Amino acid sequence: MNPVELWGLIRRTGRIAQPAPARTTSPDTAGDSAGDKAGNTTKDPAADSAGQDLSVLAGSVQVRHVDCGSCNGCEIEIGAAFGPVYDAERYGARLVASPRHADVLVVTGVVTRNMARPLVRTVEATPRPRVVVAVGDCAAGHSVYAAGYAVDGSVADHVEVDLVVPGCPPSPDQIIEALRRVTRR
Amino acid sequence: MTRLHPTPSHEIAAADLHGAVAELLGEGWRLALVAGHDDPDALRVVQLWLRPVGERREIVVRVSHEDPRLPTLADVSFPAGRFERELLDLFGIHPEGHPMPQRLVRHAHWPNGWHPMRRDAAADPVFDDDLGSFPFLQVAGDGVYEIPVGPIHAGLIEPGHFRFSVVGETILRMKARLWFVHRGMERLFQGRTPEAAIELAERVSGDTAVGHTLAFVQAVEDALAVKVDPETAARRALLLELERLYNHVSDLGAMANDVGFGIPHIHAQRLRESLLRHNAALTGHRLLRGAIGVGTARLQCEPDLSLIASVAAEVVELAALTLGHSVVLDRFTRTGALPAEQARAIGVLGYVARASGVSIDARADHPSADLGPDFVPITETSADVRARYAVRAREFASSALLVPRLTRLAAAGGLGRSETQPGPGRSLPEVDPRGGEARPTAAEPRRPVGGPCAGVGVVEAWRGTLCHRVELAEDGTLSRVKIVDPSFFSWPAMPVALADTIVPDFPLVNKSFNQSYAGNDL
Ligand code: SF4
Repeated sequence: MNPVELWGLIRRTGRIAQPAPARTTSPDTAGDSAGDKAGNTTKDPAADSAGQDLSVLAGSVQVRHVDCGSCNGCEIEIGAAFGPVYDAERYGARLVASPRHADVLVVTGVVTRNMARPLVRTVEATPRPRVVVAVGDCAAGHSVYAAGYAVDGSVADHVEVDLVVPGCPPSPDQIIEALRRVTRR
Repeated sequence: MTRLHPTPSHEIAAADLHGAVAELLGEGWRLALVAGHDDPDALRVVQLWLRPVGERREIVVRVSHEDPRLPTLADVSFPAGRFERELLDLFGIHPEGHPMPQRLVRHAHWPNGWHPMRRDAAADPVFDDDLGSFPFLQVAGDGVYEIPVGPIHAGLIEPGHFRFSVVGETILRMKARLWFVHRGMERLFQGRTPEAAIELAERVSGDTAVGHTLAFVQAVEDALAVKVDPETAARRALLLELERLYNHVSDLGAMANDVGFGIPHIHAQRLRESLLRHNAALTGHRLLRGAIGVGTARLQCEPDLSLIASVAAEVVELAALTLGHSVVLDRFTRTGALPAEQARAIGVLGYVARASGVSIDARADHPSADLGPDFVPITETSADVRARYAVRAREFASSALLVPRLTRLAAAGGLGRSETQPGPGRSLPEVDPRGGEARPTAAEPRRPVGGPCAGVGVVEAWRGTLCHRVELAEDGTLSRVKIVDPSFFSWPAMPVALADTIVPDFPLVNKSFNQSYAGNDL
């Protein structure tokens, strides 16, 4: 490899990350979930369904992904959210390899018969306080697979869900926005 | 059943099956799909066989509900043996003499005797507690230990369980258990009209929305004898190449990343994002959904040819940087080798086969669009991770060259929407873009002429040859859809390629295969 060419590529491309979109949660109302709800009825696409105080993890969160019956479309957009263009890490969200290191579980897909138990055990393995984010219409309980014989309900039937990001799949921007509601950055 | 579709079909007795299949294999046919059917009077198994160029043939056997047994074909065809295990799980058809008739789709906690694709399968049977304990062959010996991995993996990937038997760092044996994301896709299609089933086809495997939707609509069109004009075929082929582009570029980056060379990965993700945005402009969806229908293919604008050309130039640069790095090359070379002989025996498809020197590509073998005289399947011979990288890099360049050609061919048909305004100097042809018929509403589907019918669709999706086979009832609804993602054929080759590989190279080899869990598990 020619290091000069590598430098050329880096220099020529410049900054890859797109400018950060404005935060929809204002820091003043972000402190408690009641204020949060009041301030975000129209703007925030992520709905806080369980009413948990999401600010407890503000600053930096470690995120673990769990696919419990997705088509892998949601994974493409989560990957993009953590990629260089959307760059979730600059808002304090980072992907980790184990639920034992995680504060946030990002769950995708309908719950299949073969993933129901692993899902529950993964959530149990995640230390508290923890936040479960259901990403995508499947995880949100509106799955095209819902009637499948190998499907065992949706995520909320098995574990407590704190945030829902609708979409099939949701855009990376929507996923980032939900994560920023947890990181408050 | 009345057979109207053009694939020659032969019904044979169960006792003659083995001989007939051995003969087909000897004549160069490939088993592409096996579908079970629960007819009122018998259980019916249909095998689809393919041979280049464009040859198709079906074999039908029936077994009774009372005694559902068929002689195994596992001794002559490895893929046939896997289809038999699927048939056993879903339809309860026993493969007699199968060397390894373990469960495939149904995990241990699924009820005995419950075969979900049978008509009389109980709607809500009682499942045992899923203890996640799988019997795996134990490899014994001094210093041998096991590493269990999954179903939930460390990366952003789909679920599967892998069991490694290891000495020191070297993998002696690896077994994979899949079907964690089995949703029961095929039965979800049943009873829907083809139009209403498109949303399912688009979601069999999210990264292969075009491949699956195209194979599905081709099968429906085959069954209903719907003709597609060359412009529509070109537009579909264009979408298929765009799907290949965005998936190949992310694999090229991820393979470099798996040996610690992160910069090409970052740039590959940047390029993929520009391709996904281009997809959205073209079809309204970043994963290219919504563009293909029965008889149709619609675009919202012309492809941006200069964008595709500039991305292709950057991919050439990234590939040169990656393969020009001596450490990367050292990690890629002779890692995860799958010799051609084994690739053929297992029946792998797509870039995995082509990297092992097996030239199999439905774009050449079963063409449905005119890709021009210059198109040839891309093969490599070293059969290792480097070869799988190189095939993808070269295919990216070849697909990028097909885009302008297909755009030109498609342009004669406008964008494929009736509301499209003819551009300057270009007039829309008189054909209705929906296959020359008024579009049936959901309430009034196209009806098959002369009773139930069946059809087949064969597509070279980005991972390899992908087949759908549909049967339509008299009222025009789907009575059976069988889906075969190339992953079903290629997954079993990964453990073979991993033998004698070191554990730290597993993620790299896995990425070089990058098979679909959702597409395999259905
Ligand atoms: S929400 Fe859509 S994209 Fe996400 S897993 Fe479900 S079907 Fe796939």
